[in-house]
Amino acid sequence: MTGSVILSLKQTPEVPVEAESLLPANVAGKDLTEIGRLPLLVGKKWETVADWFEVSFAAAQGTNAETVDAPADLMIQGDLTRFKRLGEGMASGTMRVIGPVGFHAGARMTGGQLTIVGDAADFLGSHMSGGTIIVRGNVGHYTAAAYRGFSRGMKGGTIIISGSAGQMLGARMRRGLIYVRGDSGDVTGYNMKAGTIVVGGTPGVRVGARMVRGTVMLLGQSTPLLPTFSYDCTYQPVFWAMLHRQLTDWGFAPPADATSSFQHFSGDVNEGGQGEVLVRA
Amino acid sequence: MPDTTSSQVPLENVTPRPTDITVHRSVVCTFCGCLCDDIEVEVQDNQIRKVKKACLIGRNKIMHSQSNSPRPTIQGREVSIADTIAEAARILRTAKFPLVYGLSSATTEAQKELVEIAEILDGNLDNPSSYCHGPGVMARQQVGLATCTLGEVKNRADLVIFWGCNPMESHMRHLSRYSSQPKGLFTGEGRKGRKIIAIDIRPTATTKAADQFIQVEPGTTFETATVLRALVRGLKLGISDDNALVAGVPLRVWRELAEAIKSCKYGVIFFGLGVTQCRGRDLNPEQLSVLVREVNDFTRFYAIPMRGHGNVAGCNQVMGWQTGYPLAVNFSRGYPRYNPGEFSVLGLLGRKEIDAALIVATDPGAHLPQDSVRYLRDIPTIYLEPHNNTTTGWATVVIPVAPAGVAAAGTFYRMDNIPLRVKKIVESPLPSDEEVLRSIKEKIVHAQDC
Amino acid sequence: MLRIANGRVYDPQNGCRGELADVWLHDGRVVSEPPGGEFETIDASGCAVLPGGVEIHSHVAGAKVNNGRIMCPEDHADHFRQHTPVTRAGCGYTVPTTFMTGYEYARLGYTTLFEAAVPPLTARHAHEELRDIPIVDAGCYTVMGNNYLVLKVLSDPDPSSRRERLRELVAWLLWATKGYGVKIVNPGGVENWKWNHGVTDLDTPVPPFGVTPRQIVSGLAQAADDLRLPHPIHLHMNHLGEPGNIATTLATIHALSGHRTHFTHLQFHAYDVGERGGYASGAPRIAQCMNEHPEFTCDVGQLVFGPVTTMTADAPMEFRLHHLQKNKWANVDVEMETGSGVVPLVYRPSVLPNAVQWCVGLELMLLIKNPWQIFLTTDHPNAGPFVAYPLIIRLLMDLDFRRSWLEKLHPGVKRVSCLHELTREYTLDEIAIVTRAGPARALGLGSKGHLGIGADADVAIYRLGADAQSMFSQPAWVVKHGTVVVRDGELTASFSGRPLGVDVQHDRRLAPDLAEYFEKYSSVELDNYVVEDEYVPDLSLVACG
Repeated sequence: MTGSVILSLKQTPEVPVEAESLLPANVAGKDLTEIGRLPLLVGKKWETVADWFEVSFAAAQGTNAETVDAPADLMIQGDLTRFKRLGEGMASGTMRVIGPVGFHAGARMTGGQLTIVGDAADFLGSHMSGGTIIVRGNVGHYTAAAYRGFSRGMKGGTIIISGSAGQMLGARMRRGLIYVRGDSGDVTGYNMKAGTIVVGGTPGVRVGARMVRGTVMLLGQSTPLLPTFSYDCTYQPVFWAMLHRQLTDWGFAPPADATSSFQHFSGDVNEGGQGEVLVRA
Repeated sequence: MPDTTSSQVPLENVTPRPTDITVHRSVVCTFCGCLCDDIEVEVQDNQIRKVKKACLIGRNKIMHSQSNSPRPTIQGREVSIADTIAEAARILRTAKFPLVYGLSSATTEAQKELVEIAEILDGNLDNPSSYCHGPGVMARQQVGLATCTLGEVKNRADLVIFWGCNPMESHMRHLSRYSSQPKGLFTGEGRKGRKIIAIDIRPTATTKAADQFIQVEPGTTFETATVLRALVRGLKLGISDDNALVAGVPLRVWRELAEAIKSCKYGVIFFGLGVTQCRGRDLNPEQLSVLVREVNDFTRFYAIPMRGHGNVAGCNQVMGWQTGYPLAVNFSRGYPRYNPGEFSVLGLLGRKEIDAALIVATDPGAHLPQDSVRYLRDIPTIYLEPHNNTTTGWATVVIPVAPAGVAAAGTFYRMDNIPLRVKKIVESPLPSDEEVLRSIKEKIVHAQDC
Repeated sequence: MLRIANGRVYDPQNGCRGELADVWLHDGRVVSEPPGGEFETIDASGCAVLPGGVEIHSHVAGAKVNNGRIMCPEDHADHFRQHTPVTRAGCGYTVPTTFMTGYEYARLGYTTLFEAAVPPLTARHAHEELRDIPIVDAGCYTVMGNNYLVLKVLSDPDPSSRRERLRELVAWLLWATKGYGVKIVNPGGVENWKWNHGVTDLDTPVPPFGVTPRQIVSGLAQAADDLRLPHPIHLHMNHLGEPGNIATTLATIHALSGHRTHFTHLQFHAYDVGERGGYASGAPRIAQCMNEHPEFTCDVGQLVFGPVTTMTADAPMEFRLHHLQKNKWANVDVEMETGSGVVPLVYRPSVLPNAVQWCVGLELMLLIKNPWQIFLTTDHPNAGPFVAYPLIIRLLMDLDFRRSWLEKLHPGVKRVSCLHELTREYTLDEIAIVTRAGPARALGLGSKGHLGIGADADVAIYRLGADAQSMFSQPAWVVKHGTVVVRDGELTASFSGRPLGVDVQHDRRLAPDLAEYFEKYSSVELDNYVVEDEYVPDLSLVACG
């Protein structure tokens, strides 16, 4: 990597902007003018990156390249609340957003790393199948969830959230790991088919409702589970020690010891009862 | 001139009058999702004189349909209808991210014009179901829905459950026409042969009319449906004490209800906003629909959403066949996309994303949250409406229209999606929604071509 | 005036098998070469010139189709078209929006279609949608096989009054619903579903009138004959999709011997029982039977691998399908008439039953000798989406291609199907029969499916090439009513087609006892049941007889 492409927002738009063109792969090997020509859908009108952003390079020390090689590093800064689909479909490289972002950030991602320093709106990482999303902030509803009508949401990859998450976190997810340091909204892990969700704070009601398989771990305060979950035992899961080390290595040490004991509940019996909710004892 | 499609029978022995009274039979009332189609309306001198068979609300609606029209205005200034149409087209044409919204009491013919306007504008398109029964539609997109027409309820249902709805007050003839009293083909005993159960958070006129009222804690529809699913299938629950409370009700009561559900011949749940707007929203009808589905392993069992506005079912249908999606559609890219929350009225207004709105056949001033209304008042809003209401007072452009089903004909869909033709029984000096919208559309297209 | 010059004309109805000829169009009709006057020319050198395609069985409009559309946003998200100066926006793959349906059919060279199943109570809805399907002329079949008025009349013990009354009733129902033909779906079986009763065989008495499916199909077939309807009964038999259903199918065929009958999506009704109760092809026996009965026609309902959205008035069958993959399930019981169900599915070549079903369809197409008796359909969107027609055409025309597909199937299929032994290849002439001339004749549409003088000016022009799939995927021109609507696969114009109805003679009144019965037990007034003329503007009525 020879440096970073930096986009600084010039002014906040009044209407939503669809910015799925802003991907590391789309800035790699391009000069500033070419990057400035990338399309943005502003309301219903196609405009360009140059209309909205100052585009610049931060060359790596000792280089003065005029393009950035793939896998590129792309940094975007500003109040991007109205910008949707940032990092959507991202497959490689790194992308850092300094500021709050709108809907669908990192949706359908297959690889690379998306870091958001700020809050993210709904559908973060929906349908993602690989790569990593790190949010240093809070996220909206439907994180990693399936879009309407689809039966499967997130299919792989990792999402780490330093703040809290809204409702329907990981709804219908099929595989992957979600860690929320703070609280989560109602119905965490709704109808999940597999995968792991770890909530550090307090979850909303109906944890694991209609879950088929998969694991929801509650490290903090618990709320009562649905009557379709049954208590099995209290134990120290081996995989928690491994997960704990992994999260700590990433710099997100969880608020529970690696040797914590958990109460094991299985459910949702309506869906076959093969899912598990682990509540820290 | 009365419409020739309705049956007209001049009454005999009427006292001499300037003109004869015309009686229109089989008139469809457009007020609520029941679309009662047996109404009789007497018209004389192009004035509605008498309305028979309708409920209190329906009768008032039809009786007063010809009065209290707003004036055509632009920013409160009275102008011609042609001026309002020109101004509406100008506003919409220049908007960057417009919203077309409403549709729920318009004919499908007018709804189609609205879809086309939204498409031409590359704008957003939504209807009130996104905050009423939309969650039920979204649930259907996840798990489907087993349902039946209202005539099946009348002819077959031996168990009727009113869940989170109060038709005695909101759909006043529902119980007598379809769900409770009627003596149908295989329900010859009428009310006596039907078991009626009401589930609600407080006593209502409907719960009083039921054989059994199960009063639940607010916000517990999901828990209730969850437990019923397990009990119907005899699954092991995490609680076993029959007196343990679920939704504030002893498990024993739910066990009995599950048995009643399994042992009926043809059961139907009517669910209302108490289900769709309860905590969890679309997950409630979703869980309820799965319950209904699973009961069909034992017997016939269905659910019907108690749709409110006269043609709110129709706008889901029209948007469905023309855009592929029943609500919350966006055309920014020139083709329809769908995402409730992102493209539905409350989200768009809440995030202050739109910069102009065309609103037809709904009263946002009365139905939307205050913040949303305040934002609508800040942007150019075009409003088509047959009667003065809370929105006509502030909308930027107000265009009065002839009331559908009285002075304009067209198609309405009943709550069970049965299409009926609503009639034109009096002449109105005002144009129909359809006509105004077509003019606006043509003006927008014409300007684009120039 | 339009001259289509230098093309090879495939017009089986008029005996043209690829001869070089010009086709002249004027005022919406095919005309003979004029003595003079102004005209435009389409240079169709190197092209095959065919009559516009005629779709005989497709679910494209009405209550259950829209139920499927609304229920399946995941079907639409990645399949869409933007609006253009001449076309509307749309989306959907297995359940496209109405506009997209018309465009996609036109882009394949189809100019006429029939919606396969419309319950009278929701007929208005079907017509609203049909009006929004551009370009094609369209009609629909009225569902009658579980209709209470029909069943009530059939329970009349007096044979002559029964026959008379049924004829009158069928005429009334067709008029009241603005339908084109008599559709029967799982006769009696849908009513049985509502009673939660078990299986319905040909001689199972069905509540509440105690009539049997045999009585229903033969009674309605007789009524269709008596009315001399242009299209005979359009029959979806009992036991659709079940292994061993060949017994019911053969029994039904024998019961209808001598009556004109159209058996729809016959593929779904041609299964023998294989090992451990599984699927085996029953196509050879069914084909033999069809070959012996020239009075019958059928359409195939060919399976296409990939996603589908099954939808039918056959409610119990959909419930069974739901249990197969536990997918979402919609059901609507329609009072006193029928039911309906919708279930999305995925057909996979690696799944043995699906592989067998795929083979059965092709076997029927190849084993039924007379192409005027079997037509190409996918029972859209049940066995597959209609956009797969070019692929199926290549499978029929190209033995090597077909064999390469056989390799992709579950290996067990060779034990229960004879497809790998069949070497027949369709000719272009035969393709023209199974996609337009044949269906038009079976539908009694005298001005469609051919290019003789006076025929409708609906023409599809395909570039002749080695690969039939590419050829049929992208017509060089499609002409509807004398206007070019498609050029090289893209829409160049769009307008409304005409509704197609049938000109049945009767006095437009329901018998008083039936009217009274209806008023008492229906949830709508009889006045409001009859579909008004506003829903079928410019209705084109096809004569009986």
